[in-house]
Amino acid sequence: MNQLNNMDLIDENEIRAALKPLRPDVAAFSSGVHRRLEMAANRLNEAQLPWMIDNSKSEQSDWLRIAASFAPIHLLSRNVESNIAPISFAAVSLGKKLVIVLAFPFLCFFMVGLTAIGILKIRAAQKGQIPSDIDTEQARRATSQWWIRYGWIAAVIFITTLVAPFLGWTTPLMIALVCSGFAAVSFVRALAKENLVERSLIGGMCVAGLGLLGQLSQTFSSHSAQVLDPNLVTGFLFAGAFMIASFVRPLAWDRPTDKYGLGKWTRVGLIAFLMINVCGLTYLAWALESYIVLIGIAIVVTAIAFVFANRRFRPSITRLPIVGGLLISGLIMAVSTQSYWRGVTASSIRTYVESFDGSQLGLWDDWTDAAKWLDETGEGFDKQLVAQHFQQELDGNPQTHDWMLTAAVRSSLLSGAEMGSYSDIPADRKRLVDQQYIEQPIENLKGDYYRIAAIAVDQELSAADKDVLTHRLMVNWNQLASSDFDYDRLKSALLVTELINRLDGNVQLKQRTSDVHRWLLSNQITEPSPFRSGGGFYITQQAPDSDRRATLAAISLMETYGVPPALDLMQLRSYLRPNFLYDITAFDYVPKMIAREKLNHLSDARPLTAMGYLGTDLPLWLSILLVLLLGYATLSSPVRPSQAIANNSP
Amino acid sequence: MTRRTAVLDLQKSIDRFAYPLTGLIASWGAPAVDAAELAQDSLADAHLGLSTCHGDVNDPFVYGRWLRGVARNKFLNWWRSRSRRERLAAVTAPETLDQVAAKTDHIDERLVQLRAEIQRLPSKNREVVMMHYLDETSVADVAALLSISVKAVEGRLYQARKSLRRGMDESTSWTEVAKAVLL
Repeated sequence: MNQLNNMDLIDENEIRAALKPLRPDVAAFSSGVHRRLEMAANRLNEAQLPWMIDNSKSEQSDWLRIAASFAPIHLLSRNVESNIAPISFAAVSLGKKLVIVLAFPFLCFFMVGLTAIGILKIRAAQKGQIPSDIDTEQARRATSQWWIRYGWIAAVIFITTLVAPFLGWTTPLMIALVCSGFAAVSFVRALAKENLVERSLIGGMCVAGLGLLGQLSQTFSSHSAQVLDPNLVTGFLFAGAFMIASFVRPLAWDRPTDKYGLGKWTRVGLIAFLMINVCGLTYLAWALESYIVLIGIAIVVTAIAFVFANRRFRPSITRLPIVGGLLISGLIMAVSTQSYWRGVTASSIRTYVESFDGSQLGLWDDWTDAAKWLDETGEGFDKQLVAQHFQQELDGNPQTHDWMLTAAVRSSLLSGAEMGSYSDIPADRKRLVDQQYIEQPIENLKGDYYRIAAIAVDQELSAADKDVLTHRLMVNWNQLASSDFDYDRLKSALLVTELINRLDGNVQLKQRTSDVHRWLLSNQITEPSPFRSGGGFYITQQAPDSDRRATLAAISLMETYGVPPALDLMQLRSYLRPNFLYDITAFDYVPKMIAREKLNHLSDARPLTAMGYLGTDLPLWLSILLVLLLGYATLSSPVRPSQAIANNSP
Repeated sequence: MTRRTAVLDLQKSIDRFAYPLTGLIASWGAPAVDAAELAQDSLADAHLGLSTCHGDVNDPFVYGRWLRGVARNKFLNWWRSRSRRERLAAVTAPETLDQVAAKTDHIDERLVQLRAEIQRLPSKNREVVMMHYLDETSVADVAALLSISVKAVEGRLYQARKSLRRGMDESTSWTEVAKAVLL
């Protein structure tokens, strides 16, 4: 470089001199580098290495921060640090956002239980009955803040859960609740891994959530399209709540050194509450004519186990709540399913018919349907016994003479020939088979039913008379087709059909079939509507709800005319499903049971498959899934995280 | 054994690259003191992260490229935080400046002018000048650090010296003209 022309280039020494002030001291430079390396090594040993080992915990702490934002974590445990910073919803990852949004509806149900547990804990801690495992002031503040902040959302969720079944949204609601339950359980389990919640708390929340859902599920019973008894949903939810409760014990039970006990008035309140429940359940058992002893024993045993157990006997009875809980769950399921194993049977219908109950209620149509069904299915009943009752009632109630005789003929209690002794056949024939009245309908069809039945079997009835009578009945039929004749159209059509069958079953069969199919389709309720049961048939288009007798008449018509292809049989099955709470008290359980039996034996109606049950009874399967899920969440959670920490601490 | 080799390599790399690296960082615009600090940080970090360096670290060209990358990141971080430093400097600057001024007994105006001319050089030329002339750094080491050939370094040095000569001459003539006019 120095060989270059110096005239054109600046001197190198001059440049070096100019840059000399910028030149660092080589020794200082070297020591500076070594000092930095030592500092880095120290940082690695003291801070970075533990951080790398504990890196997996950073994911969990995110859940803690989320919990601090969306749940009153100070109500959960004293383990919670007071300086956990809540995290903004926008700051969490997409997956966690999804979990929070999904879990929130179910967390609202949890919060009811959590608040109740928290209040009990706070009160107990304030009274010094048990050592508090929470900071009472922080817990109180956190709870009130949660309800102030999210109470309106919880209210919207509760109201939606209550109203949705009335709008026919039972299945979407249950799907949403189960999804929410899954997310909530994931969230709670994440908190359990952080030693934030324990089994008793999770169990308490699950019990409260299931209890609330059990209450709300009562609305499902009359407004969902299930085929099985909808009370099974309620039964499973309550049975699940008791089952989970039986595996969850109060924290104080595992503290042998602490004084276990409830406050005096708390104990009195609990006893009163339990006694009221015992009385209620005992009354129910009495009404059911069974289980009084079992239910009483189960309740008393459980009450004794939970309330009166003292420390001396506690070790020997720790399993008793589990036994009691399982027993109560079993009894609830037994009660919930009794519509299947203790529902209305042929035997009970026979008892009803033979007791001649129709005379007491004046419901001759019901009695007729029941007796007719027994006669048609071959179950039979003691006609001699009933005939004795019948004669007594007939003599004592001349005002219902015609209706009773019609009921007797329709139910085959009396044959047409025997009817001759109760009616004046020549006079009736003159009145009903007169040629001049051929274009006029028979005005009192129900009252003249037995007379027509007697004329039909009379030897003196000519073919021409039969034609006149049949023609008049068809006039009645055509009258039913007019819009003026709307009330009880299906029942009237059934009477006309039965009478025509006694005379000439094939007359204008095609037209009648077409008419009946049209009426069936127009009279069935298929659109879900609040406060109305779908699937049944109107007694009149102006009626607000379906009618069981009209539905029975509809199914009886289907036996003769076949099932219209467009008829919604699934909804009809849903309408006629067993429902023990309703069937026990309803006075019209007879037509419902007979209608269900007739529907099950209709040749045109295909029996329901397993897939059909799976699809229509989704709320039931989802409720079972929810119970299993919450049970898993409870049993898989740590029993006493605080103790575990205490044991591990130096 | 690995640790000992690394120490030896570290000392070698300090001896080899301390000055050219400081010069390189200074050529990017960092003051001398900061440039030395950044060079020390860079050498330390480069040494700590040797395991992530692809290739043979004993090859000057491989290590030089690696070291320059680390230094570049250090400088950029320093550059981004300059506004914060300037706020702090505004508080302490007057006293520091007074102390520095008190210790300075003689200032060669020509050398100051030459430093100013060096700052006005194109960046590529300025880099090689400051790396090569800050101390007796070989052209080969400068080439290794810049990942260019020795010939390219020599060419840039030639252009730089030529530019500096021209700049100094023009500056001197303008000074003389100004003095003549004023006097």
